[in-house]
Amino acid sequence: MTSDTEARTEEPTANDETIDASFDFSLASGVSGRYFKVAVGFLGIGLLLFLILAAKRVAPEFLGGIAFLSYGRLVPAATTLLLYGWLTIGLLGALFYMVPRAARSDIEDPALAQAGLGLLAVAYLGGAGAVLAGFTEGRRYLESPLVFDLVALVGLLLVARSISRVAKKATAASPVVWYAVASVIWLVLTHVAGNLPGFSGYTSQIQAAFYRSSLTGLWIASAAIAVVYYAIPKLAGRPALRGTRLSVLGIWSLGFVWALTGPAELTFGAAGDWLETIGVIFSIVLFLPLVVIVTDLIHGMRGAWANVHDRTSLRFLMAGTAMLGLYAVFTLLHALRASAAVVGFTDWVAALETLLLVGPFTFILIGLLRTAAPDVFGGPPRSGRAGYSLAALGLVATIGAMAIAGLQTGFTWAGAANSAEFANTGEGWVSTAGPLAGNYVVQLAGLVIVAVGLVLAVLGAIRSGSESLAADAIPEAAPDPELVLDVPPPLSKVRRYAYGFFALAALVVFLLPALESADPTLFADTNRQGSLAATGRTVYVQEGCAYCHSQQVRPIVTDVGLGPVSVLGDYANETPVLVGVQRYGPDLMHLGGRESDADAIQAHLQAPRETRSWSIMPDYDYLSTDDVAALAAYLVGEE
Amino acid sequence: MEQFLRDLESSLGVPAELLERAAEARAEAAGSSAENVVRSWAGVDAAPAAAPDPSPVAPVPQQVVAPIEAASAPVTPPAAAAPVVAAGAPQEILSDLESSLGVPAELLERAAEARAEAAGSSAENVVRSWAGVDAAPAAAPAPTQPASAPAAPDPAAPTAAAPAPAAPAPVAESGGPGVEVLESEPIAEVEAAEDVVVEPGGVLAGFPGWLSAALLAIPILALSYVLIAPNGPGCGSSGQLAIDAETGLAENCDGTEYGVDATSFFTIGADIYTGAGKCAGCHGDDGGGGTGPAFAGGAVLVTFPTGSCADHIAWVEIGTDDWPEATYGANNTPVGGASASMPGFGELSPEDLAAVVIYERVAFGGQSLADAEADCGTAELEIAGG
Repeated sequence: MTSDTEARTEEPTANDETIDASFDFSLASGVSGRYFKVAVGFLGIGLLLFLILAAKRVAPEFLGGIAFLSYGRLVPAATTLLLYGWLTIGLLGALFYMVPRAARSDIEDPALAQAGLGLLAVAYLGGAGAVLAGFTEGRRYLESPLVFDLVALVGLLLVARSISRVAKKATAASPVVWYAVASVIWLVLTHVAGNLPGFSGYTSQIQAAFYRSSLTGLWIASAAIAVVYYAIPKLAGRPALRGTRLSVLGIWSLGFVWALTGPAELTFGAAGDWLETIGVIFSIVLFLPLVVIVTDLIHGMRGAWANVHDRTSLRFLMAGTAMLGLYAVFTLLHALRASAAVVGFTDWVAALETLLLVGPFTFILIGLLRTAAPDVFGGPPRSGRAGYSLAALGLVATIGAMAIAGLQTGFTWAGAANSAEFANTGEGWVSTAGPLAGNYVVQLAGLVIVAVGLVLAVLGAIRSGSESLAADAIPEAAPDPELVLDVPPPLSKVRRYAYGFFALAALVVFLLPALESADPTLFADTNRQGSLAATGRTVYVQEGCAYCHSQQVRPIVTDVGLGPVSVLGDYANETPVLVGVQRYGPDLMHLGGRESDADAIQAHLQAPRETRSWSIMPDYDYLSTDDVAALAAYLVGEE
Repeated sequence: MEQFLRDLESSLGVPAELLERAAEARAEAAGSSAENVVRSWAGVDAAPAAAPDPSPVAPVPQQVVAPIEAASAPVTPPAAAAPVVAAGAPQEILSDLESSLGVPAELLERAAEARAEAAGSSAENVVRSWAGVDAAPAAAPAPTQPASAPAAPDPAAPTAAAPAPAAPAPVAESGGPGVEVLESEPIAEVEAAEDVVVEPGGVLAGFPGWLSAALLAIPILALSYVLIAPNGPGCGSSGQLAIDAETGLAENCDGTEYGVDATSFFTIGADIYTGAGKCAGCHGDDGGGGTGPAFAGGAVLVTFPTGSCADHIAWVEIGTDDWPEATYGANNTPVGGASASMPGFGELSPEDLAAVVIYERVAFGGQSLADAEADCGTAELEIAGG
């Protein structure tokens, strides 16, 4: 092994290096290395917060009484760190590593790329800090205050410019370059569309749903697929995969479909039925691009699998790719009405989010970190076998536990409503919360194992070891002649299509439904400016109550007993809209109709476990008495 | 250079653009200029047409085609090179070929093995045939073959590299380590060459069969969802309930309050109404009438409007025979007029009487359940199990 490494330093054996002997990618390697290191830093902090969250579900008093470590503030901080700090910066670093190599041209403006990195790091760190300090815009994944959104926008524009300038030099039909160019365009557009001001009420919920699907599919998934297209052939010592007709079909169907799955999370919501149906349809069609892309990869890699020496990197990449399918399955079951009636607002949502943050995309990114290690970190990665096994095992345990918890909760609610016991509210909640205690322990244990595995794998990539990445050079397989492109699409066409698909999705699942939902006749008054309840609402947003309590009654058996079914008018003029994500605690839409005693609610907020021993709500004794009183007034006045 | 390209285009049938890119790639590999490459091609002019049958040490134009074989060719993972050939292949022939072609015997051996597997023959036969025809090895891998052959083995199998027809030609012609040449220039040239050979078919042409099926099935599945439930499933499916227009509460699809359906006045009334010997016999299951007058479409509320539920109950309880007056109802309908006599249902309890009347008023009269219950004074009654 050692001699192997030594030999390799003199005479690179990996195929790309042979091809690119005359090219020098030191600038790109330097830039991507910095991106990776910053991203890894974010991963570390993000995982720590993510673990604290899981621990707080098991032991609500853990690190209790500290304002900035309260559950509702940690949630947005952890997602900001992992989703933006780790995945976005990491995948941008991946693009800076891959695109110059695919285009056979080093980047020309490393200063621009590094300025972008600086701005993004400031924006994401600042955003996470702001929500911890209680400054939040309150919409999931869009919590950062406006000033940080603007800093991030400037950073993204610099990065996008830098990447497209290199990509323009590509001459070959390379899926890596296509996905890179398209995904960077989509990233900027998504950021703008999601943060566009001027939307209120349920309309802003539709905007946020579009943003989330677009960010996931058009940016994160597209960039991750670029990584897979690049890293797997490279590990096998093959030249870059050339685009075939399958690749073209893959990228365009992905670009067309994924953003349109946005309304899937609005099932049974207040928006039009047609919108929810669109979400369902495209959650089904989402399997099409995934099948095509995987087929294309397998086709392109015919005969080269045995050549992959670094099995750990390959495992990370393959497991990540396979988990894309799992992600699509979870999305579909969350969208289909029949299953959404069961899994909606349950731990199923947590499973989806966990997959997003530490699932397929994280695995794929780590696969690339290891593949790129010799160029970026100065040596081949250490054997990451243990890291991979732990991460995969832990993830199976966590996701499995969350899925089971979701089904269990959903059936409990529906069954209890059928027997008129209403386990979805008040004292009845004990039948929901009780059985989950053990499940949360499994989730915590699983996440600890995931975190250890990921940290081991990442450290193994950064601190060079003796793992051999060297693959025997192996020529490209002859592509199936019928799959060969007549004429590969030029990059200008890729760009046009990227804009076009984004505009189409934005029109169909964002702007049109926004217009429909903004009917002024639906506006209720609810102008409670300056009132105690208005102050209470501010506290509700600041403390992130919406991450554990929904404010949406759906027209299904599960929600019987929660009061009138939610309509658009219920959310009119609200900014941010507090529909919620998940019910770790009961729905609060019409709490006042069930519990009118504000003093009792205030007492419950300050010491939840004195009134209900099974509650997992944080103690809000760190808030001023006035704030808690205002919060209670807001909750009672919700009716 | 443009002139040469156009000449080549017409004589080869390959688009000039592709030729140019092939030339550039070749030039880059050879450290020459693209123009020189094109000139050298044009100098031989007719040669490319003979490409499928070149000698191993063919002139430059053969390059246009050769990389196809190269692309699928000779470097198999060491593990995949099974020793079977060595046992069966006549070493003399191989060494003869080695000296005459200048190709290492080992490569020939592996090429023969791969070719044999693709052709279903034995490696020995392949080697013999090469020796017999002498120049044949180069001709053997016709341009179409490498493309079609790899379809046979399982794409995921690690040994899939082996069966690709390995051609000695590219190794020989480059005179150096074949792999390097192949790697440095495959992209443009293979494309150019493929374009000579391939006439792409429809959109799905060349896709694996199962993939084409999946590509059709997935949208059809999605489409059928739209056709079956254009605006989502109706009330009653997927756990969906109806919504009361006034209160906004979720309710049963028949408009009754959710959770108390088994014991509501409405459902009890419905059971009684349709029971044997009761109302439905004369007034119809759907209230459309029969021997007795019709209730449907609000008719029942014309006779007993809102506020006169007590009269309605009394009429059902007493019937025509013992009715104390000549007319009944708000519109003074004559007793025993157009219709036959109605029996009294005094045997029913006050709760049941109220229930059946509520059912008639809600289901056929169109009164809301809440109004009917208030009207009929159910607050003072207690139904079984309620």
